[in-house]
Amino acid sequence: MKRVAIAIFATFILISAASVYGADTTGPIKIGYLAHLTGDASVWGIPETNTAKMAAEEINAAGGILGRKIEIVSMDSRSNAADAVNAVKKAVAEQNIVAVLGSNWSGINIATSSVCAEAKIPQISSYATAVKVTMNDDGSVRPWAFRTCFMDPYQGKVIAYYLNKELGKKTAAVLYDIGSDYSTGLTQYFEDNFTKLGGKVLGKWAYKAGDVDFRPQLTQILSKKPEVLMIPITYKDISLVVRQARELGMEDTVIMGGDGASPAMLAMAGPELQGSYWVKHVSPEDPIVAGIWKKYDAKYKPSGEYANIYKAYELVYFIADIIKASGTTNGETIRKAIENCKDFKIADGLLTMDPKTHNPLNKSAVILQAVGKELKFVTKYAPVD
Amino acid sequence: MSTLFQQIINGLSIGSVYALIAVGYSLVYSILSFSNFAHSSFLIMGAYTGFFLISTNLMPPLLAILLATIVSGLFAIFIERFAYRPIRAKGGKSLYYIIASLGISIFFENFVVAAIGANYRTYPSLLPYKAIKFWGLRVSILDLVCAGIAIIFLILLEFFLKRTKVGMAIRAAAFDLTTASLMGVNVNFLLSVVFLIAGFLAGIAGVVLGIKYTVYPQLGSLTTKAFIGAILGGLGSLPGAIIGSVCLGVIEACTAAFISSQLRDLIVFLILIIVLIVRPHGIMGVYVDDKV
Repeated sequence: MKRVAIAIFATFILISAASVYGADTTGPIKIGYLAHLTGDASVWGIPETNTAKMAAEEINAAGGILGRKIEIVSMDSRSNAADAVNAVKKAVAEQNIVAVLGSNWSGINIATSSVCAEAKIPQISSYATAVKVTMNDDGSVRPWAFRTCFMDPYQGKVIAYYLNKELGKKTAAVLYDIGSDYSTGLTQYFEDNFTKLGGKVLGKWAYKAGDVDFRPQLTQILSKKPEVLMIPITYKDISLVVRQARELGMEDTVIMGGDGASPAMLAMAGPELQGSYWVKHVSPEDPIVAGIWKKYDAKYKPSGEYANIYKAYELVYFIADIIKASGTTNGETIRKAIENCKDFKIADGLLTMDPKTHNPLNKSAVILQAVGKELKFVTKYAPVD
Repeated sequence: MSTLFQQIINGLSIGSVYALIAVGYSLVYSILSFSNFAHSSFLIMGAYTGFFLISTNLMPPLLAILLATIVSGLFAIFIERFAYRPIRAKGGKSLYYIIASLGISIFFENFVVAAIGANYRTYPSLLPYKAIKFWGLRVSILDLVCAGIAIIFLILLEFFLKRTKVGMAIRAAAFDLTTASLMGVNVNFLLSVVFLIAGFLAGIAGVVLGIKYTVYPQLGSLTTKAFIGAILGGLGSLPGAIIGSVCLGVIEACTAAFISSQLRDLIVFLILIIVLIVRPHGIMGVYVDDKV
């Protein structure tokens, strides 16, 4: 009996080993794309996934890479870390993916990073901006995790500098989500920089994801009379907060936040959001970005998330070019190639990766303002001391 | 000082919605002695039906709201008929009801995600997002209307329970279901009426929440807070549910404002635990051995 069991077990091992290594050189090269297809973050996840497929089709029409076609394996994070980990594990085990692209949420990428490291495949996030996405707490780099966008310390600095130096604001209050890495981190970086510039943060108030009524906190904020309300949170909460803030009488307060903003919030609180400022990664008026956005809107249900559309497009081409340059789909070779990118051509310019942090060098931010039904481009901004 | 009054107004506005939900909870509890977690499904049903009827402009908004509450009332009867009645027929314990109701609420939330999608949907603006100002305080017009709706429905409910024959039967059943049935009360019919009312109230709460905070599948999670309000007031007591919910709203607002917004839920739940230790049957509840 024991021998039969061992035999069955050995056969099983052989079959599974064959399925892992056997598919390595034939058939399409499979690239995983992790995004939120269900849940509130699907406003970003659906355009990212669609764009990734669109870019793959283009690459295949032009002949593919290494003589093979590429295929996007879509993974749904369902907007939470546990489901994201399961989706990545499943794709790694069953689909033999060679890299993971996405997502745009830090908490999710931090959770999936160990899965990718174990499988020895690189993961490049779209807009996961928290420091911990590519670095451990002790400052060492996570070898398999990368990003091609700026980080929250930079984003917090941009917000602080823009408010203080460009708009001349001296006092601010912050309302943030206490359960989010992104929100608590950005709050800290904003406060550090704003205080350094001589501004004053009059108070920080917290709420918990799922809250819908922010008036108790907003009433207290109002009583401190800050010039600025800084809200480093995501679009649904932004629209409720801003609606309630204006209703409580915060009519002239300048409102500013980070890249958690989305044009979707203008459908929820259009009039109240007018004039508010938001930091984003790329400008909709950049001809390269606009071109990709237009292509997307012609093919799929139009979306206002031009930044995510651009990024997914950039990432698919980036990984395809990396694999092409490496001449193999071997995880370690690709990882090294990404790590040592120097003036590597990507969609909107040249990318140089910092091998010590796995972050790109020299990424600037753009400032957008809510005008009418759109987030309009105001300026490209890099804080200068 | 004016901040304190403003916070009380904020708390009343939050609490009035909790109250609408909590009354339905308490009504079901008073008769079947179990916490009906499927109440959140009734609420979502009302919120989405109201949203689709109003945004498609098929009928005047008031009629649409009424129809939405009726739909969620009928939905509640449906759940009672096909989920709870079989358990009752087999003489199941209250634990079975609780498990069934939890299952329904999880199923329905995911059903909405799959069938309609997880997007946030905004009710067309029926009322201006403005506030009335007096003595330096601000009361939102929307809140006034919502509180008004809540009060009207609660008065109607009180009238129904005290002045009609069915209402009397419900009160008798709340006192002792078995004895009431021995006295010739048709229990199945009675429970259908109770669930109709509970669904009705949850539906109107769903529409109110939808107008105030947009509609999404997890909107039903607010019923947890209403449930706590009902416990605070004393499960099974309708005035208790209202008082408990309003108190919870005010305590939440004042804690977030004057103690710590970071520690709000910690402190609020600590208060709840203390209340339950000192007064296990809540502020106005009837004492029962088997409290869930």
